[in-house]
Amino acid sequence: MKVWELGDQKGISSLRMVDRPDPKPLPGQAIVAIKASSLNRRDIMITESKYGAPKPENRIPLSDGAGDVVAVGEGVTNVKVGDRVVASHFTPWTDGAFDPSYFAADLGVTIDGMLTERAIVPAHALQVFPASLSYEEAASLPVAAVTAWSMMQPFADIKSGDTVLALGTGGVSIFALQIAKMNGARFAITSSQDDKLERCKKLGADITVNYKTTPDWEKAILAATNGRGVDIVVETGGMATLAQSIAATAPNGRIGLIGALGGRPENQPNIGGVIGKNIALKGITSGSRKMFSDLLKAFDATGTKPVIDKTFAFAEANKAYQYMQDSEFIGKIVIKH
Amino acid sequence: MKTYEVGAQKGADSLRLVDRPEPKAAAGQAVVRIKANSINFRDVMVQNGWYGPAKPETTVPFSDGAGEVVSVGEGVTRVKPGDRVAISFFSRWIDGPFGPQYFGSDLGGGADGTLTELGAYPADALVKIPDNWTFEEAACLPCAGVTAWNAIVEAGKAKAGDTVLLIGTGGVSIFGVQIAKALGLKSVITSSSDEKLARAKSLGADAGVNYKTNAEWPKAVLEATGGKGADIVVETAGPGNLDNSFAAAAFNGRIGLIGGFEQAKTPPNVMPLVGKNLNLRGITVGSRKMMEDLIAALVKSNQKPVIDKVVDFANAKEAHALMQSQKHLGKIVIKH
Repeated sequence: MKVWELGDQKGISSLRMVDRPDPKPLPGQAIVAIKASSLNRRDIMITESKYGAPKPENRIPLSDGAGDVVAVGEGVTNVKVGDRVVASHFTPWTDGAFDPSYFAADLGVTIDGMLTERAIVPAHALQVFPASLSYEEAASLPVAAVTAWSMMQPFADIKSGDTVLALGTGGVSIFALQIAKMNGARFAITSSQDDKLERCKKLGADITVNYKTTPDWEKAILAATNGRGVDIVVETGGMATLAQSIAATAPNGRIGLIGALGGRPENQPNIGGVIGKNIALKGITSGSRKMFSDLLKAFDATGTKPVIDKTFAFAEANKAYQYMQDSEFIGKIVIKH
Repeated sequence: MKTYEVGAQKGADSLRLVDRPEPKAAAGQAVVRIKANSINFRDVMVQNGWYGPAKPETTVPFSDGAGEVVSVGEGVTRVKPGDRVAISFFSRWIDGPFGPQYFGSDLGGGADGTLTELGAYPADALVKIPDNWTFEEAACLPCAGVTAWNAIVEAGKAKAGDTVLLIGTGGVSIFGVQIAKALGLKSVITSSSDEKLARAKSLGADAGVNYKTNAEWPKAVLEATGGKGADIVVETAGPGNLDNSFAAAAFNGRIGLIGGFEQAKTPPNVMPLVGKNLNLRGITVGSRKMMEDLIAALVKSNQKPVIDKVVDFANAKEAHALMQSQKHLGKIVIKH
């Protein structure tokens, strides 16, 4: 079978496609014939050795994948051959709160991932996805959509009438838009490009702000919410934007800090605002299989489809990486196997 | 009657004792004869002009007071003359989450406070105190006690077996030790003084860490919790201490951010918030309901507020000096 490996992690050009024997499942494992995978920002960081310690050169990248179960090992009962499945990338995180031990079994990071014809996955990380979703759609969910869900549901406790703000138009932000709309919330989004904001409006965004032409975007958000601010912020912009996010937040607001942040902010966040407005600021590292299952149910029940920007062929996976790095995209970049 | 006013807010010396006509209870109000107050660092901030915009010079200082109801206005059924009561910090915040509608109803800041012989307050802000508590003890609760309760129980979602980390031995922290004891939590407390740590332990703290003799004190907190860290941190030191609190917190830990005293020289590094899935929540005291719950928890566990020193009403400025000397453990009280 064909698999991609990270190689020496000096950039996207280090990625290499190689031949490997077809895998066999050990007890507790399933072999999944991957039909689609998708990219997240951290996958680029990994190719550049910017995501923790360098990984072994033969590590298979990508956390997001969907496919068919083709074999199961001894003791596996939750999936069977022929099931259409998706995997939770923190493979041991089935339910409950996060645990640091999960870092050690993270698909595409600390264990082999999904950019392969056949993946070996701990069976407890798998679940069947609804027939209403294609492989490509299902493969776009595990990291970005579960992160948005984890932030909106268990943490921010979204309810009808809340206003949600997301920064930028990447995968997590667009899923946040969809989850906000299905919960009856208002949605605000920022981008540096008017055409992207137009597309977000078509997807249901109520408030759009161009942060390039409106550098004081937090004031525009306050103005658009009658001076009150937003109830929930999906803080994907990194610490550089945190001070403005705090300023744009309403009393009792919830700010979810999503990974991939680095360094210290140039503008010190106004901690006084966090106290005075009783804001909750929480770090979010994706979510559990249970959250993923709740998310699949909600997407199925509401007929919501992930927004896919572009699809690449498996043999051209490196071009998908390059597209993520170079292009202005909205939603997800998918690889068809 | 005698009343203190904040005056020019240039420090404790601006405090001025004046005569005022006795207040009358308007509809919905009760007049309380204040028998005791306690001071909080927030009162020091107000008195020095560090607590938002300057207040009118005639503002009566101090949030924390307890006393006896002497008269009630029309429609008041919650209390009656003779009732022994304490007064809630935000006089309009009864229950539920915080909201901007409560701004301005904070006693001794946005509204007239309790450092007075007689004060008129919304009857809804009054809470009856246990019979076997003195007024001095009851006067300790409203700001520090309710803040600790909100940080640990409401925002912190404490459950038995959790570990709570308390920074320093001020009023909030000592209430934190007592709340931990009442709810089956473990508590770890920090101080620059071994003697204070010993006293905190005698009040029920499970472990003490001297942050002066132990520069890497967050590691000591990890050691005291089997490497896991604190599930709840009551961050009373301020933004300048947040990096330490992040380091001492357990995965999924909840950090209640109380004060802005220790300003950050460099911005806190919020990366550990993400990696450890921490939840940082700003806390501004709490509701009347939280004060009622706190009293019930202390009564049930046979605990009373811990008083460090008592000064006379006529010498209220001394309370400021004692507070700023940072030598106290627990509360500094003013007796009328």
